[in-house]
Amino acid sequence: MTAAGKGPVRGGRLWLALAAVAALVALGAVALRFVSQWREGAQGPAPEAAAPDTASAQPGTRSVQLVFVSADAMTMITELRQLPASNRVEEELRAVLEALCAGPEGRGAIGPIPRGARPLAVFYDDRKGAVLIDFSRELRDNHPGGSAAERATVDAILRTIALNFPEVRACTLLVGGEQVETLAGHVALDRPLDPRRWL
Amino acid sequence: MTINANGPRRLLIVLAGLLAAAAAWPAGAAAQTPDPDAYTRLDANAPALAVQATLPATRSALQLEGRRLLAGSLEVYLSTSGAAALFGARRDWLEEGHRLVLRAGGRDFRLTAGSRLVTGDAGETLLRAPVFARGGDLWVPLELLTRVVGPALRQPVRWDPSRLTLGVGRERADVTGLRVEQLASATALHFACATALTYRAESPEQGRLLLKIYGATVDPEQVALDAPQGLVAAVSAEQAGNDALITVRVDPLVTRYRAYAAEDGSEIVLLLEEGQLGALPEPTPRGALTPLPADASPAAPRPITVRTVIIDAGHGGDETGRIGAGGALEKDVNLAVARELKRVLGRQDGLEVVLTRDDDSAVPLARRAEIANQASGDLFVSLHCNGWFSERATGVETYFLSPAKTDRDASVAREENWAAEGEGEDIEFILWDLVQNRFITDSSDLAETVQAALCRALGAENRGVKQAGFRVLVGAYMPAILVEMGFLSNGDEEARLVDPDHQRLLARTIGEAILEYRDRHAGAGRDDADGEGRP
Repeated sequence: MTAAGKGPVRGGRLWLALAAVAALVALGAVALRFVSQWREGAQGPAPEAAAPDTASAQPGTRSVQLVFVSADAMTMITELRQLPASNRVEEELRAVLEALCAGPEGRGAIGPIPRGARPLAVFYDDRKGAVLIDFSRELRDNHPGGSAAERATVDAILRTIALNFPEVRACTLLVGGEQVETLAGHVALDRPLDPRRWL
Repeated sequence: MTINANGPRRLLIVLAGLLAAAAAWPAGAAAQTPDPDAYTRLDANAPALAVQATLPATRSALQLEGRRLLAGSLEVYLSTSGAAALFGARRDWLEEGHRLVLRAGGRDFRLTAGSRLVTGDAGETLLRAPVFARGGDLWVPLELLTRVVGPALRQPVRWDPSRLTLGVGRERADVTGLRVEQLASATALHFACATALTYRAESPEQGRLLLKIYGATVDPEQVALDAPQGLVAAVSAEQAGNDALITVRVDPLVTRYRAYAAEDGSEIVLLLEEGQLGALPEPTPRGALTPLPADASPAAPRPITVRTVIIDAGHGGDETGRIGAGGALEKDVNLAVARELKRVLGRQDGLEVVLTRDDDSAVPLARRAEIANQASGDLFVSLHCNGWFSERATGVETYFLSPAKTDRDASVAREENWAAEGEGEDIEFILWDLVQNRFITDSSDLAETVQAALCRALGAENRGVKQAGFRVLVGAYMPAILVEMGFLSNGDEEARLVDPDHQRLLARTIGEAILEYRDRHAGAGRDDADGEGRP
């Protein structure tokens, strides 16, 4: 009886232990599945109910195109940058020109803005679509000269403005606060230029 | 007891079995049928693809990084930073790295990582594939651009999955169409233009005419004629760098041709004439324009008699111009070639040559045009050496003035400037532009002649005839060009440019080209003026 009685009891405990282990494994599997689904939700598909809401957004970034030139002076090369977005054209324009002055990131491209040149001030008149940009003296003083190089400098500035600020219709470039005839003896800068002609 | 004790045990066993089955069931089902979720899983190791994007409206090209992020799918994804650049969009994060608003053309597109739903003021769209978060940005399937953003902004998006090319916006062409008009003994080809353009017609061989339109794009499908019509056998167009090149094959009966532009710039007309007698018939310009006397049209042919040539040695004095890698000064090379050119041309009877500077003095740019005008110059040739940021650039290029504004734009600008008081200076420049527009066809012809001669004689790289807003060319009452004779920033070219033998070759070649131009126009009456000839 004892043995017979112990047999079922021992067998029952074994079954109970096995069942408990199975239950734990099953619970673990279910839990893992939920966790993995929850984690996928962050990067993978989420229920359609979790659609974007209409919360207001903070000013973020703006994708802008910067214009550089190829080493053989034959083509223009456009690079992308992410810059802080602003509701003011002047701020965005200044940030774009500073990025242009900083030069290209890609290999094979040349930044045609002379070393040390940077925008000192940007004024925008939205009524006329006119912008006045005052560059530091390095734009002229550090310019290597030659019409190809000079054209590249002016083209890069004007085309970058045209690509990113279609609202600008007239652009006056100053150097060190003064109007200049040219940067290096060729391209006329003593008049407002229409960036749209650089498209 | 046994029964009582076995009851909960069995219940527990059954429960465990059920739980295990519940946990195992989806995996088992997936083994038999495709898991729908598997299709929307991020492939974190998807390699980068180079997507070439073109924006015809701005003639700009971008290389973007694409990835096939969706496991088991060929759908190509772009980051929102790349996608935003295509539409000039800005991105405002609602929740950093998870939700953002793409703003373009006054429209909002709200995107959420992991979701297929795009919401915005244009309504809701359910994409076939979800947006993914990756590397601090959201990545969107191209379907978002082709199906949602493009249509909402009325910008067609063309995606070629085999070539990985993406075109955004309408194709832009400056030369947009061709109309053939039959006249009594002539055929007129009307090339429709989106804006006023500078052109040059020439006949390189019997039965063939070339119409080169500077700085223009052309739609070859719209500017084509396969079947003969009138005196025209065929017309084809191609994009040759920055210029549009139109080839016209003509009937052997054609003896003369003439190219001119409608005064509003809306078309360029190539008139092909059969026989030589009688007055040229007048084709009807598209759009009812008030006919103007031919003399008033900037593009009207005119006779040119070259008696005085102005040679302008670029830079001078403190203005050294480009300094070569080996120390050569541009102003010295320019002056040496200018003096030699004066000697070459001075040998010609009836030709006077005036230098804007004959020593190392600084002459203001505006003064140079003034000297040319005071001397009643017929041609203005400015001599320069080029310079680049590296040694790589070589070759010869010749410029003529690009008008700051076309006639049509000028009238708009005048209105704008008059509206904004106190900007009289702008009007002054517009008037100068109009003056040079008067000579623009002659200038381009002279530039082509000099450029071709230099490339032939020097064997130099032909960088082409180009237009630019060069200050020294503004204000001259005559055809005016600027010749870049070589790059001082390249060591080999610098060595040649300072060599007196090479300087003599440059002067002789430019001089011969000027004489060729003069002779071609010599005694030209109205009928033989520029843009005309025998095919």
